Amino acid sequence: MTGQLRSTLEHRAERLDAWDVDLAAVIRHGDRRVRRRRATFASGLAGALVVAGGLAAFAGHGDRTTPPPADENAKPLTYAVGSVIHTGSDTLDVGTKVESLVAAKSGFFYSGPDRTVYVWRNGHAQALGHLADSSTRLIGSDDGVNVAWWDGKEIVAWPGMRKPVETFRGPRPRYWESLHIVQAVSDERMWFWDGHRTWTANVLPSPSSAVWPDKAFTSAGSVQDAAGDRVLVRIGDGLAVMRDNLYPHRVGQLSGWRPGSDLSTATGRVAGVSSGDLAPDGRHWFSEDTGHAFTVYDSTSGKGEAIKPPPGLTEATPYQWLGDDTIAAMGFVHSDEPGATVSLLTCRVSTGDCTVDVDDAGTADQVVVSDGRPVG
Amino acid sequence: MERTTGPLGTERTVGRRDRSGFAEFAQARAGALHRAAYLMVGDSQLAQDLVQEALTKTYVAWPRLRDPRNAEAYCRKAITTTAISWFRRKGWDNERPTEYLPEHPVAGTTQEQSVADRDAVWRALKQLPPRQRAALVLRFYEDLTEAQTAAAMGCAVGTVKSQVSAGLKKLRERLGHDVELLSPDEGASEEAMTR
Repeated sequence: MTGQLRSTLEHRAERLDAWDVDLAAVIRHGDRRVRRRRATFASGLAGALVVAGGLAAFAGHGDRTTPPPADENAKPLTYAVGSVIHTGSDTLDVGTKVESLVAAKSGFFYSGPDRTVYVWRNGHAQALGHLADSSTRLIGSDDGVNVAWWDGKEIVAWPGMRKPVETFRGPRPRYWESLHIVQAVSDERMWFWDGHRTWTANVLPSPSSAVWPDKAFTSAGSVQDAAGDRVLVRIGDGLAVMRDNLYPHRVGQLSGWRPGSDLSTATGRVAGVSSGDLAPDGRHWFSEDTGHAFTVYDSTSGKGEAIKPPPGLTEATPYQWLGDDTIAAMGFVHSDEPGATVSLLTCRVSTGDCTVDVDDAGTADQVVVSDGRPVG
Repeated sequence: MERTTGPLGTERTVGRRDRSGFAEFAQARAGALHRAAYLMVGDSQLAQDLVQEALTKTYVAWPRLRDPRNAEAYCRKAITTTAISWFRRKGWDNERPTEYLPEHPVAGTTQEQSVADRDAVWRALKQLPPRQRAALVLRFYEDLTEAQTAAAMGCAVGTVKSQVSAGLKKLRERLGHDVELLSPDEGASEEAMTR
């Protein structure tokens, strides 16, 4: 004889609808945590190696005898520790602990511990709104003009657009989907996810109130990044670059145009990669997955080029394109020693290696790099 | 510059973090974990969130878990402790719509009474504090031992005993003492447990 309690529990469990776990999301978010954790435990050993292996490497020279040609359009390396933002050789104290950061043309966009979003410009902080939750990120366009975020009710695309998310109907987005509400911001367009499908909107030349459904993408995180008219998208268990087909730039192109991205234009699909970041010129992208070594992929062919960490470091983890040829990365040494510091690197696609720009920037839970993701 | 060769899937998916092993585990166990999580929180969507989060934690810990049995226990603990902490911190009962799936009995049959009883038990179960509910689900649905339940809840065996006892007591207060919550075997086990 079965008791009522067991009978009830079994009956309820049997009636539950089948559910497919979003394994890609689990691995993607797990990878992000591993990256942070690994950096947190990166080592005291690093210090020992630096001393033994040569301070020259950490001075930004290593064994390099000929510096690579300059990437003239590269943005300066920008990061924050506490309330101080470092950009190039300059520092400024914004008076609030910085939890996430994006360097834009109009100023530094950052969030504080209470998730308020500020912009710092002309020596003053201006509160602009707030982030939806502690995992929501700021996303900036490569040209530094637009910064977007989700505040829990609306998508805000600074400077011009504040868009009520009318498409949010029914259940609110799941907590892990909140990471992907704003999926990508290019120089002209923004892609976002409403819990059901992907939409896009104009952000330049003038902010538009119109949104366009992009029916090619049916899951959160389908659009990884955008640059110009190229979009890095998730197709199956990999990533590929395609040209957008959201709407014509000129009236003459309207004839025969059908809305929605055409996945058949995707090139260079790379299997086994779940997240990535596209270069401003759209020619290359790097994987953000933890399980992958630092590799830059050609957008057309999908061919990968490994980027070597500088001498004295065992791993470089890329987080942001600073220019068409320059990537910012965190550098560290594998170890189980706690309390280690992170070095900040600039890496070049053309040379395949990295130099240390900032040694001992702080511990991983102190250093806020300017990719808009909240620390921790 | 070093060049990687060929499609990237092969050598990379079996690199430093064994994704295929984890994926196999997750796909095999997600359904069962979802059902247990649902019984703990009473909301299908929240249960999915919980499992998703617990699997993420398991993925992060995967290299040191090695044995799938360890992974299952780790994931179950993550579900239980995360559920309890979410209820404490976020007040999910108040924030989220409560899912209620009414059953449809056939009128005038013994099945009707059975369905009504299960409905009443389910409602009463959902009113229990999260730790008591979790303890009952782990003991009487997952069939875990007291020690396994304690491990899943991150507490002492004595705490499991007191949570189960308190949970059953509240259910009986709400449902009436005529309802046979436990089978004779389970009842004997419960008495021994709370002595």
